[in-house]
Amino acid sequence: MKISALNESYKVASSARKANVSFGSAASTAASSAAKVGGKAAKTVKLHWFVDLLEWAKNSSEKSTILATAIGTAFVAPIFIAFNPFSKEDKDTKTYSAARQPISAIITVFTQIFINNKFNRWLDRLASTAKDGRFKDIDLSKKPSASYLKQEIKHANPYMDNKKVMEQVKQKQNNVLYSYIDDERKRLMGKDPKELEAFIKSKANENAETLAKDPKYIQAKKDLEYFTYEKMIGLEDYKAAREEIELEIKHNGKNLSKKQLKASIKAETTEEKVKERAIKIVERKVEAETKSKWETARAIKSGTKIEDLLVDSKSKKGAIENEIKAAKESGNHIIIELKEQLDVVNKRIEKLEKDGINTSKKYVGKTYEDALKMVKIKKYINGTLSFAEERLSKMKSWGGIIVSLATLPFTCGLLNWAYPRLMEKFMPEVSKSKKTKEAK
Amino acid sequence: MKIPNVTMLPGYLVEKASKSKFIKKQAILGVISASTAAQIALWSGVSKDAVGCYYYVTQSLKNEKIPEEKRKFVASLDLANGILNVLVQTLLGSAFAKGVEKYFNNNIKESLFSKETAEKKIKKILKYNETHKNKPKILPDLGVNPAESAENLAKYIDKDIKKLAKKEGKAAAGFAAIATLIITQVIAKRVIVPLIATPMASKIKAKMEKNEAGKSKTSPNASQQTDSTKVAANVSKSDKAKTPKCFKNFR
Repeated sequence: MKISALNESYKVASSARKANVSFGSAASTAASSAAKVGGKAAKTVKLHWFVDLLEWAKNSSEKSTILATAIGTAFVAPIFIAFNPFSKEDKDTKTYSAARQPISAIITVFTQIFINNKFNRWLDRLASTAKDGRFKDIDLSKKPSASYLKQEIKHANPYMDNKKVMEQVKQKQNNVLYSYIDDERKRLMGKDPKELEAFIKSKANENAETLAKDPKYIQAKKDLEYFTYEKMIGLEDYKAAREEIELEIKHNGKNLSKKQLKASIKAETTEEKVKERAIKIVERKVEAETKSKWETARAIKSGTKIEDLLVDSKSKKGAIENEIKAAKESGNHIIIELKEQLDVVNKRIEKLEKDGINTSKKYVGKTYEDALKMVKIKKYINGTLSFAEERLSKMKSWGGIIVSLATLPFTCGLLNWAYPRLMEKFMPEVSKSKKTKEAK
Repeated sequence: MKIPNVTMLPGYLVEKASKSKFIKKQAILGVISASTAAQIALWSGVSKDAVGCYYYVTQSLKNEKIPEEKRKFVASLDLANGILNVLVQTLLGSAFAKGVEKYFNNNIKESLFSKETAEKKIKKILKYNETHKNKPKILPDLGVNPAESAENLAKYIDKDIKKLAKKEGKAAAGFAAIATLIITQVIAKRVIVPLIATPMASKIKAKMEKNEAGKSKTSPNASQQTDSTKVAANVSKSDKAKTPKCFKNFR
């Protein structure tokens, strides 16, 4: 009975979510049609182009290295070789050597970036189609990468407009993720974490090999992870934990010297201590979010108007923002907790404005414990995905270096073949050997 | 883990790498510290320069298409570049890595991510659009039209800030990477190193020639030097007398 009632709420939530997903695309379609000015499509301004560039540099890693190297090679190096005052070589030799640099840059850019792109796409495909436990640590099948989805959509619709492709990519990413979260919630709602723990404990004395083949045991262990705070830690939680520890030490140790502070921070930010703090932060976040959702749902059920809830939320938001400002000025570590609270309030305002009366029907359930379970399940999934995304990103960075090194013999060989031939064709006077010149 | 066949090897290697402690640690470090991105940029450049040096030098020396008198200098320059690139980039890159992150946090982050900066940019565009109705600048779509009312403008600014805040970590890492690349790949590799490498290459080339001359003197065929070789040696001596100083090094 309980589960069927919850299933009903999921159906409402799912259809509402699908409507919300299409809201974004409708708005952008409206924007894009409005963006046609004088018959020509006007380009959207990049408000924060520098931040976008920095984000691209971080995401593309190896590509940005290749491009930066190529720019230096093609435009800067030739000047310092050809006009080097410290070199005793003749002008022709210096020019001949300097001209090699732009040729090298062009070959490197075309070959290495081409190969790097293929490598990254292959990794995206592996991560986005991971199944049967393979590539578990970079499993993004529940949140396929944008580049993988773009390839799939473009392959199916080769003539589709790029903007429409990206809209479909975002829609599909959201659909896949939220459907998975819904399915997992459906599956796990009836399970009691304490019962799971008790079951696992009861098997403690059994043979490890037997347990490794016991599907019930394996499933119970996996299900329990969804309710364990330690397993819910996401990368942002690690970051917040470390920041909080550092701020706490700096705030409490204002009389300490820089050296002492540094030593203290190093001692307190070991992997174990950061993990401990991250668990506390996760617990704090989960409970704050559950409380906010539960209280909003109860308020709406008891007849409170959405407008009143919004006014209350906005005044809370203002108060928290003032506290954050004060904490920033004093360097108080409490700023981390305040930012979490601000995030919860902002989400509440967003949901109230978007979903109105339906806010109460979403992701809450019948009891506070149900609401807590739902928040925990979502946190676990998002935490796991955040690690998978970052691991994939690091594999692209370091793997990209290995791939570039592997292509070096080819690019060197190609340069060695092309360089003298191009010089003979375009700069024959500089290329002629002294013997040929003297013979003439 | 058994590998059924060679075609499965790449996938197997990726799986192994994804489970490795190194990648797991890098993933955490990457979020905690922006200097990880700087280190990746640094080691990418240094490793390629080290490996590339070997290939460029050996291939230049064997490349008969390059005129003989230029070949040694080209190869010497490659060798000098390779050695200096690795040394100078490692020194400068390592020295700047952490400083770059601090510089970004203290001097750039505030202005890039503040509400005031975003508000200023948005209002500037709205003002521009008032006077250029034929050719307005289109603001990114955030689900609310800021031109409609003051309330909408405030909502738009809030949404913009929220979207921007998500990029803060990546921006710091990206800045560290770009700054490291400029310091190592443009300044160190393309300005400092060529200035030192070019004269150093002349010295390496002279040493190569000296070694070659030494080898030909001590070779078993030295006593069987023909008259023509002796004549050639005498001719080269007399040529030296005629050839200007700047061409001396090409003998």
